[in-house]
Amino acid sequence: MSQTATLGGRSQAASFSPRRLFLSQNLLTATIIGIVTGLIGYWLGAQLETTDNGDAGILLGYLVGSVGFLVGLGFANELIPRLLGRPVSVEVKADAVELEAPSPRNWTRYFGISLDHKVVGIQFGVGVVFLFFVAGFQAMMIRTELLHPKGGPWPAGQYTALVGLHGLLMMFVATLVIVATFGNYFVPLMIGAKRMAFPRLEALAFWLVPLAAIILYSSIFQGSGGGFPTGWTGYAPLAVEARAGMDGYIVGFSFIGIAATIAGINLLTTIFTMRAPGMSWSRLPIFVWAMVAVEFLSVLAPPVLATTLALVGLDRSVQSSFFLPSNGGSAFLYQEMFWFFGHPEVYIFVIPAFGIALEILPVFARKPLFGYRLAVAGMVGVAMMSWFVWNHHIFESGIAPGLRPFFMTATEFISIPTGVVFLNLLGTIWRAKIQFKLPMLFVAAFFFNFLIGGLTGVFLSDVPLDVTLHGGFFVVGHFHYTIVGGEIFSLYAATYYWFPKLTGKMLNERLGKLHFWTAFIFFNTTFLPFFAVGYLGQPRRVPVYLPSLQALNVWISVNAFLFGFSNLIWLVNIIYSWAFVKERAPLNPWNSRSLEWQLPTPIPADNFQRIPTIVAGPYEYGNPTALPVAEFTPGTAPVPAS
Amino acid sequence: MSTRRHLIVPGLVWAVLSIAADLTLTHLNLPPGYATTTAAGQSVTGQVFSMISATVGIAVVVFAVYFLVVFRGRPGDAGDGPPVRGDVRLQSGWLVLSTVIVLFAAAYGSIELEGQVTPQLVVPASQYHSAATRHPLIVQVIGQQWQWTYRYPQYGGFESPVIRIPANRLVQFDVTSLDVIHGWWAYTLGIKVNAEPGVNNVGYVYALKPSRFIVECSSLCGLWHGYMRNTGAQDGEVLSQSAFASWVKGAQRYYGPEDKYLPKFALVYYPSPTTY
Amino acid sequence: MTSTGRKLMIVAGGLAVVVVAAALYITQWLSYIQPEQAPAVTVSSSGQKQANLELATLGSIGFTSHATWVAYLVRQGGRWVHSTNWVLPAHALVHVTILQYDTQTGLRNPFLSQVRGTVGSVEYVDGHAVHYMDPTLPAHTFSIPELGVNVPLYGIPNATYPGTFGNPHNTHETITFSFRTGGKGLLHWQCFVPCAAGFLFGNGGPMQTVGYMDGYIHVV
Repeated sequence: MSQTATLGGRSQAASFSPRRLFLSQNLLTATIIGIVTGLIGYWLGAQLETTDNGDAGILLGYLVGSVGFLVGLGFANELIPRLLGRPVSVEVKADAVELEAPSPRNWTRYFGISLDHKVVGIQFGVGVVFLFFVAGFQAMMIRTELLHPKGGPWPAGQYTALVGLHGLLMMFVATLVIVATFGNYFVPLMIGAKRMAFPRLEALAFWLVPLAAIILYSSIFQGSGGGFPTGWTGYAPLAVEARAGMDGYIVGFSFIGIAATIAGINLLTTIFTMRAPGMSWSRLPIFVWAMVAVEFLSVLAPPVLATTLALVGLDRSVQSSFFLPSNGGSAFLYQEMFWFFGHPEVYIFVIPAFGIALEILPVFARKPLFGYRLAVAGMVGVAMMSWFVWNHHIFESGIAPGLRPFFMTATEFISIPTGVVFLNLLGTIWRAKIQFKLPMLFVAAFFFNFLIGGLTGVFLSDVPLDVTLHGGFFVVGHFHYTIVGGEIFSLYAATYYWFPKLTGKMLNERLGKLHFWTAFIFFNTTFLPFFAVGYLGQPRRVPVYLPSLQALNVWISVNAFLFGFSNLIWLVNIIYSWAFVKERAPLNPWNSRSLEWQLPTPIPADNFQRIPTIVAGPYEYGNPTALPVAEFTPGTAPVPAS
Repeated sequence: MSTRRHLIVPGLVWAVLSIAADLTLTHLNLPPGYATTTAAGQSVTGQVFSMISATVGIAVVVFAVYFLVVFRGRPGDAGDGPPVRGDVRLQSGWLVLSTVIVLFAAAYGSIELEGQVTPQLVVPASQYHSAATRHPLIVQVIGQQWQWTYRYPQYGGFESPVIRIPANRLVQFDVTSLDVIHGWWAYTLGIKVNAEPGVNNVGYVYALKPSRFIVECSSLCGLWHGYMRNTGAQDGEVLSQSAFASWVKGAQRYYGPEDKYLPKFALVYYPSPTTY
Repeated sequence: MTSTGRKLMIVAGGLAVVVVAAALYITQWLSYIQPEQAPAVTVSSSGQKQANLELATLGSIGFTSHATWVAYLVRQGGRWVHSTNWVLPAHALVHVTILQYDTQTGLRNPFLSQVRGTVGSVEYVDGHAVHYMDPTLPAHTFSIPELGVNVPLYGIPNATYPGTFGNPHNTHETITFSFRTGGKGLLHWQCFVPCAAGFLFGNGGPMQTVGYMDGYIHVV
């Protein structure tokens, strides 16, 4: 049987049929086509080039090559016949509804276009977590540099490139890891839908991620020093002045933004239109509400980023001057546009983390979620208010003076809906019967870390304090506490919680406890001193610092290596439990009421044999008269939880 | 186990811990120090915000840890907790309390901010309406890749690679850049102003006594961003008024010959070449 | 082979790939580190440590993957070496000789055309003492901001030659000056003339790459 992973997963003989444009469409041929079209694009750009730097060629090469890759993979299989006015074959239409049953033999479907949202969820999970480890490795390289006040092995230019790569790659991870992995996999299951609204768009969103990563990493081979010199924020005019690696940043970051937008459109449409009967808004799991809140940001913010980066690309390649004051542009404009995207972006990271934590909490507290409506209002409130605070990233950049008190107040006000989540925590664990299984441990750690992250954000929102703290390690500590301590810890919790349903195996308990304690302890010992170091005046993105700060920096670096090691324990646990453990997990090991746990493992290809009717909310623990959450066959008892 | 006991015990622990934390914080001298009025304001603001954060943070941690410990499920008890879904009074109380804290922080911050950016308020109270406040010393800070230079328009417009300012006089910094975005940050003076090309960004400082200060770049600007600083022999200095006057005379002599090549003093510059 | 054995092989293979990739990645970054060059150190009769640093500034370096970039070269052991990382003795008087081949470009900030930080605040261009010059005349500068050293290097006027070695029609100037190093430490030096053709502001490319117009001075 040939290895082709075709649209829908069924291989076909090599005879001509209108559904396929060339003989086989798989990852290898797509890559070859991508490279060839990329070279054509590069040549085309070189004809348009007005400078000696080849930026137009590189940008066009990336863009055309990416389109070539996606066409090679099969995304245009239906599009092209329709454009040409040809009939679309019956098989293509059937592919759109018939999905392959999961089985160890068709593992190739993970390497192509899959219309099964569960496959796409796993693709995202594996791909994005891989990027997490790559970026984490670079963090280790950064901390090696900072062991000595005069700098370490990497010269100045390499260090800034390293910091930029670490930051940008982690931004890729943070944007997608919860929304695209668990959102794609579990939202249709939680709302009782058989599939998502736009499966092909979802697959496209996934394939943009390896493209973005490869394009970004090709920047290390271009130009002396590799990488890009601006840090993840890519400020013009330095971005316009930068060497060729900047083009990789422009295209890679735009692709991730586009992937986030696509995922957002898909999730929003699915949640709004495909809920099962009886799934009213007040019975919606809090994780799905978090997806709703985050997707409004995810759909509206990244296009601003893509536009901004496109303007930088134009400045670089054809010498426009959007961001060059001497020719009529404005460098300040870049900061405004970037942060208009950048602030909602960080709430794209954090709101799903809230969703995960509040979703897991009631299951292990064995109590309903306290203040469900308040939690929803909090998340939606945070999402809406996040559009009004972006200037707090540029307080010192010369914004109109009257704007500073406004943005300071707005930023401080956003801490009110953010703080609501702590009331949910306290109310849910009040008089509960808490089971300290691994997911619960990580949820508790999430709340602790996010408390510190959130409080330090209030420091930064105060403009006079920001004058000292901006651009230093205090800011770095703040966002590592909220993103790593918040989102990544909720990623850990989600992994331990949903692993039995995703893979049919339980994650190893001993390794899990070891992972928890090493991660929690070393995370805090690493990042807590960041606040001290930042308050004492160490700027960020700089490889040298005052000798008096060396002891703190060495302490941070050593603990960072240990924290990195704890992540390896997590990885080992995942690989070992997934591949080498034979014992199957129970169907519902945590006794959760939520709909996805009422399904068998592995979940069938179209999720439900028939769409269930939802008759109760998912958090009715402790209510003796509560019905199970859904009726699977009308009038009969549903599949009992094990 | 009555509700009261479950609230009073953590409540007492919280009270003790937060009072201890707040008392400690009032006795700490937080950075960036007290060399200027702005730095002093930031140090005090830091103390105030630390006290608020400590109180709030300790409350959440103490109550959460207490609840996590006391309300854990006993082994063998696979039952559920009581189905409490919400409490309107508690939720409203929480929202009101957090709003009050936030409003206080916002009001405090706004008042402090006005005191740091309005020239008349940067100086000590005794000098609010003095003539010297209306005519501050103007120092233009020019950022370029990768060095800071300083121009003194009131002394003939000479340019110098080191910065000296007088104590007890309002100093106005006009910060601009010749190429990319830099960030002019004098840590102990409590001032950070971005140097943006084509923009004149203004900051004020009133130094209270002679001292030395370090200048760093706080906005990534290229290869030597981390080395774009005035330290060591190139330290910035706050001098007494007489020492400043004699420094100015010496600087005019030393840097004077270059004056005829410098562009006329302007708030922003567009040097050429720009494009390729 | 059992399925467990096969899975172990896959995991081991994956691990090997990852380790090799990481090693390659680190080697790639490390390859950007340039070796350090140390000029000869002598001690004069008065006990003053002295060192001679001989440099050349070229309009295009002629080799490496960026053959058209402007660059500094250092003379080490009688040969010209491509390195901008130098080792100098602490508390020494360093005599610098620069063979300047490149053409006039001009400064973005005219202030930097004043000679500062050298002995006598002077440089000698083909024997003539110069304290400051018209800002449109320098081809490059040699500046060590942390020591306050700033020396504009006079450019070759109306040149029609590419400004590199090996061209019999090339002219160059010989610029000499001396400066004192302070205590031990790691300093950086750079050029301040925007001499990177084709980049915005002339400040990209070689101006931002160690090995061309920037480097380190390790004072030991």
